[in-house]
Amino acid sequence: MTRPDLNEVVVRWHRAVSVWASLHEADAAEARQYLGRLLDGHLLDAPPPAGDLGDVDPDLLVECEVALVNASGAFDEDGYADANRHIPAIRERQVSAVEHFCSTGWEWLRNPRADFDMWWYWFEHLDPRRTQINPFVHYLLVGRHLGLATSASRQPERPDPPVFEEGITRRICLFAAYDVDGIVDDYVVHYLQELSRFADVYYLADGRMPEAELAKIADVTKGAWAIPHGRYDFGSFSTLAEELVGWDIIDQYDEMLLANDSCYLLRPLDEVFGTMDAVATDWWGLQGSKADFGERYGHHEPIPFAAAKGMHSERDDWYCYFRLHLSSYFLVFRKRVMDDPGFRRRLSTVASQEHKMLIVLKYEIGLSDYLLRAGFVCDTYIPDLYPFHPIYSNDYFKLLEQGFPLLKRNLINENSLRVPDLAQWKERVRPFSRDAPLDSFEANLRRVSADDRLRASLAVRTRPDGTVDHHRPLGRRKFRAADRTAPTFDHWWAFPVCADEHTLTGSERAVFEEVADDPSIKKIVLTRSRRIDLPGTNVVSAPITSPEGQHHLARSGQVFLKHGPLVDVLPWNLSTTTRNFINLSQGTPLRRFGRSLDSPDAATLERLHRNNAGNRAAVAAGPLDRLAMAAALYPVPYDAVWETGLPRHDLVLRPEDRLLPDMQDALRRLREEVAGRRLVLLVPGVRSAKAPPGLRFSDREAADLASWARRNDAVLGVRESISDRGRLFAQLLPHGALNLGVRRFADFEVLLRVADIMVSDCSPSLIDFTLTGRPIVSFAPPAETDSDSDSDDQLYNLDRMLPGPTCRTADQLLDALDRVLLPRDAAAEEEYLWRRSLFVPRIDDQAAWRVVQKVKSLYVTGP
Amino acid sequence: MSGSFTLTSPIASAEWDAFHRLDRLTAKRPDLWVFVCDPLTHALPAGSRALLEAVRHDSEITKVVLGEGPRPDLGVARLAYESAYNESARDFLLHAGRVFLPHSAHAAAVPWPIGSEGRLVVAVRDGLQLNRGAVGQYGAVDVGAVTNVVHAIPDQTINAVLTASRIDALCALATTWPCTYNQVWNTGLPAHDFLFRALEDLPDDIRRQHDEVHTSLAGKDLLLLLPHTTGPEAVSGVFLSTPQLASLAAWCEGRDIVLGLRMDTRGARPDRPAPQGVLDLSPARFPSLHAVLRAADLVLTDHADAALDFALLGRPVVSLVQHPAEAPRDMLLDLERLFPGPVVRKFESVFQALDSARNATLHPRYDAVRALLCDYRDDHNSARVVERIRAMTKEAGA
Repeated sequence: MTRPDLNEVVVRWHRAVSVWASLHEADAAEARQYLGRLLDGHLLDAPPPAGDLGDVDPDLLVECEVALVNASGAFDEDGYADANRHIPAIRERQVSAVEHFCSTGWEWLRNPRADFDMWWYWFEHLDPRRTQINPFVHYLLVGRHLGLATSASRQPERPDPPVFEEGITRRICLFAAYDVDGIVDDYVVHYLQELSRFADVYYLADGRMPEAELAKIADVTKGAWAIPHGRYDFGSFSTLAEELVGWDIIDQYDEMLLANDSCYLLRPLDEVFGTMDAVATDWWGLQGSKADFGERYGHHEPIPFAAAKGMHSERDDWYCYFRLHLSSYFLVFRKRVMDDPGFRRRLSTVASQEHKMLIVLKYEIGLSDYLLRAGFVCDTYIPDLYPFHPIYSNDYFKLLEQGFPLLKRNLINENSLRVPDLAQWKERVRPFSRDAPLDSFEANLRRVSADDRLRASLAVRTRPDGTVDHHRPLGRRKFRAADRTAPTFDHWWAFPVCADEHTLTGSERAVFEEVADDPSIKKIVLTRSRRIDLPGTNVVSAPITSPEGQHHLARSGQVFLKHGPLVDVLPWNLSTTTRNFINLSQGTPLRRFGRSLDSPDAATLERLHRNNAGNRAAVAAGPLDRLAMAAALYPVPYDAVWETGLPRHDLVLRPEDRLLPDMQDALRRLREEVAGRRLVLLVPGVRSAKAPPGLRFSDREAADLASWARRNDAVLGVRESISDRGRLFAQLLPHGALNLGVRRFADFEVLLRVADIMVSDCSPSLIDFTLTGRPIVSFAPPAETDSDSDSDDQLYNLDRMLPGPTCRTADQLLDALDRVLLPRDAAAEEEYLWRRSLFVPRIDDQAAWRVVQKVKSLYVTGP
Repeated sequence: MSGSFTLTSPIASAEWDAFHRLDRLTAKRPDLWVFVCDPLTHALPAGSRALLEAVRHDSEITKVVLGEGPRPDLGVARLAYESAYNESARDFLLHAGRVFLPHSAHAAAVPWPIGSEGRLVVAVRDGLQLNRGAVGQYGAVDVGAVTNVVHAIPDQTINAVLTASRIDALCALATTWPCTYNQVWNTGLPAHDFLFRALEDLPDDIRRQHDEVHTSLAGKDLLLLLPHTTGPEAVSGVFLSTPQLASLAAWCEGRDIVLGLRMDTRGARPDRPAPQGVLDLSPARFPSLHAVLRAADLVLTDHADAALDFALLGRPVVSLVQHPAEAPRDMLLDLERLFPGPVVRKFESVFQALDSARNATLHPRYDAVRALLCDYRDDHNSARVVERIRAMTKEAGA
């Protein structure tokens, strides 16, 4: 039997699944016989089918694979169940071991039996960049008949590994970076400066960066790029090795260092390189890890790394996660490894993964596992293997004593092992650092860390009696119980931040500001990943998931929301009758959303009801908006929707000199960037669940839009949003459009105030923008909706109501932009104002005041 | 819900519970269509009437009308007519697969707790809505008190609401809670068939009413007063004071126009006769609103719902709201922006507005507003509803 083309196997298998399904429906015994024939190696008997990979219902595929695996008798059901008993669905027997393996286990590289290494088989015999077929199914149907190996045999260590007693002079460093704000931070410059003393450094950031940022490291790198690829650090290593630097250049070096920006450099690297140059080894790292060599598994003391290399546990055979590996934040390879085809292939086939953990499993652990099994000699700067995971546990400080040169950022801002007293991290690492810019590290921590997690991490402390206060919030059940018994106070007003963007902006901000200086009202800002310190009297700020946040939330009589209690206040299912949840709305909806969507599935329906039913009241911009909100927020009745106007509109209409200082500052910043040009603001709409992602402008269309902007002394500004699944407008960023994302301009109203034209896809922002009296263009590409412009997902006949043109192609958009630049005549102006007034009849900056009066009236009248 | 009224169910709780149990156990017949009269007016709502007309020749459908008044002459063969309270009515309801309730009192139209399981229960609206109006329901349970949820959802009767447009759908939902958006049938309102159907094709009784109004006009134009509220000015029973009414009558006389008045008294007799010199077009004399609307040439209203229906005929409407602060409380739509005619605040301005309207100068946004309020200006609304029900029946049987 010759090895068949993989695509052909996949196509044949998918066809076979369809055949099995029809047989199974008619006669289960015949279906079993059919699978038996396939297992006997007859998948390839028939002539090869034509066509592509063939679509097959995923549920059907899993069902058939379960039947196949069961029929094969080759799956170790007890072993799999035992190895994965920590998974609730398996432990509680909600699914069988085979069902779990066939549905999700195989994609997470859980082995079907101890002698079958999923990732190794996948990598060696299939296409490691693609997820086409369950490798074990491939083995059962084809692989075993071809005699394909199922795991790598462990080779003895290769003799005479290289050593550089005099020190290495030719070293290359491939450096992987990512910065959420697209900058080269000072700590990275500091790290690269040091690395450049020992290596030629090539830098690649996963994302977009201005040239000015890359210029900061021009002196310390041989090459620096910023390219979005979404494959984490291994993606950058791969791209550098394969495309940007090339193996021909790499071949000129004796050693290759892979490093990333997840660490702060505490001390010079002379000691590290000096020590390791003299070690005879094929590859090395700073320290090793093994997931089941930890306190949870009874290992409390370190063992020599040499001994660790010989360790083998049964868990290793079932899940690669447990295997010994060196972490990718600092990995060094010498010539024998650099020249190894298996190593190069592993670095060249890095694909994007749905979960970051798969990057770790496939590439970080996968690479270590390959090299160790292939007999390449390995060593570590820290001579011992410490219990898992030493750079995130208290043992880290022992490593520091041994000269460990780095501080992993995640130790401080995630602190997953709840290391106490990290609030004093600077004092604790200072004795081991030599002139390290700790303040710069701290600034980076504050900028990029999730504030709630950072605070939770730093709050873990040692009590005077030596025990550790983990500062954990109450669990769901306990918090619910606490919520039922805690008194609520009318004058405690809670402002949870937006569950999506973690900001307190728009309507919530406007209401907060309305009462910011009212000492009789206690304002409680419940934060998430962003740090928010707002000025005012009687203001408290705490992460919503912290004990302090829970304490305040449980006592708040009024809670102001954007989405609803379930979304904004976490799934705690708080009492909705002992407090008032006031829904301040996400804006004037033009598309159906919430309960106004077509029959959601039962789970969605249940979630919608639980979320909506807790809103004591909601606000609306006008009579029509009130009707729409009542329909969408069902079962909130019409009477509970207040026609106060939307507080966020206050922030658009208020005279600039009365705006808050931070908004005034943002306005100044934006105007500087716009530099006197017209700003065309591009805002993605909230996509309905059924909308397909991935709409694209062609290169010509994107270039035409950029060209239109230049001709008209305009600049395009893109407000990216997590709801923009297609990232249509983000395509324009490389064409000179301004990035006006929420990290740069938190307050959307700032953009509205400066923009001259808004383009959006039926989003509430279009209506917000009409408050300025300036032109809007509704741009809804055809793939988004039906071909009919009055598509079914709209709440209104928008072509008759929107005060601006609607278009569906890029050419129509260009035409519409040309038209809206022309001044309106009196009739057009009147029409614009009438259409706007259908949605927003009241143009003033008093909506927040009206909301506050309505809320206060609840003090007296109750619900 | 404010603006609603509550009726006390005449059915003892034991009977209520027994019906509830039986209803769940009884197989439903999709060919048994029950049309329920308005419990206050005792009339079959125009929308239900239009639907009944649409299936009058369909021998496969058993048609039953439930009402309390004398049996109406609907001109439909083999039509059962029962009191909603008697045992036959109860049995019909238990088996009915299709029930048509008057929207204005959908929750109070039958004294039995009919469920929507396996049954289509349609709220039939007689016209567009500018106001919330009064929606009757049997003693609403304070569901929030027992479930610890602010807005718990009570058992639901209605599972379809007929509407004329997207905006109309939102209005309908505001008054049929706990109905949801996916229960909206934007088929057009069957009652509108009686606006657009050729006169000769109208049911005899409606045509006769139209002819009677028409005859009484003696060739003159009809200015129809359609009051919604009986506000503080209402010495005369309308939104005009007595002197204002006299002044308007004089204006009409000078132009050879008949001034007619139709007050929707929800089945009650008007508490006073129409003022002298004003043609009485009340429901007591002319039960069919649409017969009267078709005979009118222009309408003056404060903000009556029927003025929107009238505007669908393409004829002019004028709104006079002398106390604007009071109007929004009861209004679903923004009168200033979604009324298909001029809205005047002072009585003195009415004459100019009416003159302008008579000179065929329609309000600049007349067509735009009409297009937003109603997608269908034809007499196929009932047919669309029936077609959808038949498709539903077919699908269920397939």
